[in-house]
Parts: sequence; C-alpha cells; structure tokens
Amino acid sequence: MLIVKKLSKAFGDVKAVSGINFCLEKGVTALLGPNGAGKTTLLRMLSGYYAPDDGEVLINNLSVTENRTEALKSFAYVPENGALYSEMTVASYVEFMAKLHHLSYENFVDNFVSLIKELRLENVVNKQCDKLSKGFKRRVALAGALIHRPQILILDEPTEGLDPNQKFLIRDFLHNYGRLHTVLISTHIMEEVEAFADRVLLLNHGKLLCDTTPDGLKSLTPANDIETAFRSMTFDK
Amino acid sequence: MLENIYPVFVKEFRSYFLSRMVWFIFIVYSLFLTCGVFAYPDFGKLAEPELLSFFKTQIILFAFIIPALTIKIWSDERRQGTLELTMSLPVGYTSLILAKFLAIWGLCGLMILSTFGTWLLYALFCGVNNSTVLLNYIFLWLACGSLCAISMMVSAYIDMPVSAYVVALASCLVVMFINIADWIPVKYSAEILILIGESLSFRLNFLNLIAGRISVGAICYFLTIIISALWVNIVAIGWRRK
Repeated sequence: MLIVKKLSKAFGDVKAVSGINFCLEKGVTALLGPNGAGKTTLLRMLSGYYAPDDGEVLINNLSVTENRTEALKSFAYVPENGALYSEMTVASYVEFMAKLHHLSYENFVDNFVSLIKELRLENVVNKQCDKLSKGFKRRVALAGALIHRPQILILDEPTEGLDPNQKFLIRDFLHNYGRLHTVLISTHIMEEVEAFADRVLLLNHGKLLCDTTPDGLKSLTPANDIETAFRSMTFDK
Repeated sequence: MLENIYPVFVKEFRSYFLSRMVWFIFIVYSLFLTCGVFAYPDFGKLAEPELLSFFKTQIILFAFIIPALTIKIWSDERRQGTLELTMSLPVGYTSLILAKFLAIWGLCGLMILSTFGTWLLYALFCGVNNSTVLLNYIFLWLACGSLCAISMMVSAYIDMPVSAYVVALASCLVVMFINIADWIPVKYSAEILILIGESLSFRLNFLNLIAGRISVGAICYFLTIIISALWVNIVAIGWRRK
C-alpha cells in the first residue's frame, strides 16, 4: 500500500507539488495532468529521488524519507526517460536489478524467462542497452523494474513516443499486472486512461484537483468525455 | 547500512572495462610507464633502489587521469539520464558512494599493477630494494585513493562532465602541490606551525612515504582525505535531493 500525506515540494518560489494526499491499493491508477502540473516531481518524491519539503510517503508503512532503502524493496520506478546503463547488455541489466533485490538464482531465472517472453525481448537479450530502439529500451527498463515482482510499480509516461503496437503491448501488460499489484502511471494521454486505469488522480499546478474513476471524471461534464473533462478542469484562461 | 555494495561495485568496476576511453587511458598509461622509461636518455639514473622518480611520475600522471575517470561516476550519469534510476534503487547513499569509490580505486590498483613489468626489468638489470618498492606501490595506491575521493566529490557537485574534469584536475593539483608551511609569514614561522603545515602537505607526506620515512601520521593523512571527501560526497547527494 502506498500512502502519500500532505506532500509538498517547491523549487525556489515555484510550488511544484502542494499538500497532496492519497492512498493507493491494488489496481492501475493514472496520474493525469497537463505538462508542468507536477506529475514528475510527485513521482520523484515517491521514488526517493527528491526529498519532500513537507509531508511524507509511506510504502507498506515504511517512510521513504526515514527508511528509504527498506521502503524501496517492494517498489519499482521507471523514470520518464527510461534511461538504462548504456554499457550493460539487457540480460546483465536485469540480472543487476535482481541482485539488488537479493533474488535467488531460481527465482531470477523464472522471472527473467517469463518477463522476456511477456515483453517480447527474446531477440535483444544479449544486445547492449544503448544499441536498442526507444521502444525496446522502455520494455527493458520495465523488465528490470519488474524482475523482483514489486508490490508497487510506478511509471512516468511509459508509452510516450512509442508506436501503436508497442503502446498496446505495454498497456496490456500493465493492465494484467495491476490486477494483483499497485500500479501508478503518469500520463497526459486520455486514451491511456480509458484503456486501462481503474482510478484517476488529476493534478494541476501541483494540486490534486480530483481523485475519481475514469467514469467519474467523464461524468463531470455534459459531454461525458474524459478529454472534455480534462480540458475544462486544467485549461488556463 | 552497507547493503548492496557488492553488486553496485561489480557493475561499476565492469563498466570501466566496457568504455573505450578507459581502455585508451589504461593502455597509454601502461605503455608510457613500461616502455617510456626505457626511451629516457639516461635510463640508468632513473633506477634508484626505491624507484623514487618512477613513483613521483606516476602520482602526477594519476592527478590527470583520475579526474577523467571519475567524471563517469556522477556527471556522466546525469548526462545519460541514469542518475534518477540509480537514486531510486534500494541502495543506501553510503553504500552507493563506497561502491563507486571502491570501483575506481580498484581500477587505479589494476593500472598500478600493470607497471609491475617495469619493476621486474629494473630489478633484473639495475637491482632495486624489492621490499621498499612493494611498499611504495601500496603507498602510491593509497595516495591515488585520496585523489579518487577528491575527484568523485567534485563530480558530485558539478553537472557538466567537462567542467567537472577541469575543476577536479585543478583540485587534485592544488591538493598535491600546495604546502601551507610555505604560506606562513616569516615572523610567525614557529617550528610547530611549520610542522603542522608540512604534515598537511600531500606532496611531502607522499615523498616521505616513498622515501622510506614511513609514519602513521602520513598514512592517516591520506585515509583522512579519503574519508572526508567521501563524507562530503554523501552530503552532496543529500543536498542534490533537496
């Protein structure tokens, strides 16, 4: 379970995230917001990359600020750029991630084989990470994050810049993973929200505007359409 | 507290051998020290029993090499965008910094080992004091450790790899050549002040060690630089998160 309490972060005079509260359990949650809404800053605080100015993040009742290493053991984060250690091969990257989570060799092999198959990485297992296309890099980053089957998975714009086939593959995978785990994805693509999110957190100017379901968001406007609801709530006149 | 040092160390250590730049530096360094010395017009004069000139040359070379290797540690991670990934791994900052430090220090150790051929040739043709030379190799490695820690610390504060190299190089050269004792005005030059000043000199401590004037103070001096610089590195990481 992921609990966020009164989380705030400012960069100089700009309040990137302001007093956000929510609690996530199993299922896929979409963190929705226009560019500059504070989505990436919020996710970076959840992953421990940024220290919050105020508030706290609890992962399975462990504070990320006070007990970062323990808290991150049941957690995985795939940053927006999906960057990988360029000099490593796909197999060595995933193996490195498994070692950090102290997976036994048998568990590593089981998870590795199934992830490679599910994410269709069979042909690139021995390729160096910096020789991969963007779509493959995203999937390798996902494989590395999922090798220890984390209870909580957080992804920053996971389908940004991918072709429709790759988008479908990742969405389908995340939808299935979210049935048993907590998945939070940041996005500003409406079709993604409709495709597989169970819950929506709408963020703008660092504040949580609403915490609802995709249908709940749709019903906020007479047009009964997510995009219209998104625009009406986040459009700056 | 120090969990996961080993996998991060192995990853970092291996990554050096997958970089063309590191191979280039390694080969040039080894060739320079194994072949270059024999091209020196007065080779015989270099062959002192403790190989002092050989070790003095090496530490100066390392002052230029180590900043080039350490920019990979933080500045390059920022450039490649992997820093966010690294910082969200379940690895404590102390472990992360220690693992990265041990990897670069280990690489310096290998580079130093690659010059053993020169020692062997000197020993065969000129005769050297082998036990002193062995100790000098260890002291050279210790001094390299302090340069690694200083360069790593600079790399943690500066984003641009080129700027990080220039500042780390300048820092290493300043630490190596500055002698506070020279700066003490003559009217205040009490013996105790000069002794304190000299005990804080990298160059004098290193020269004393390789010349056989081994003291606990000199060894502690290098260890203190390593520990202090790594601690500042941990502070830098915490500061960057804020």
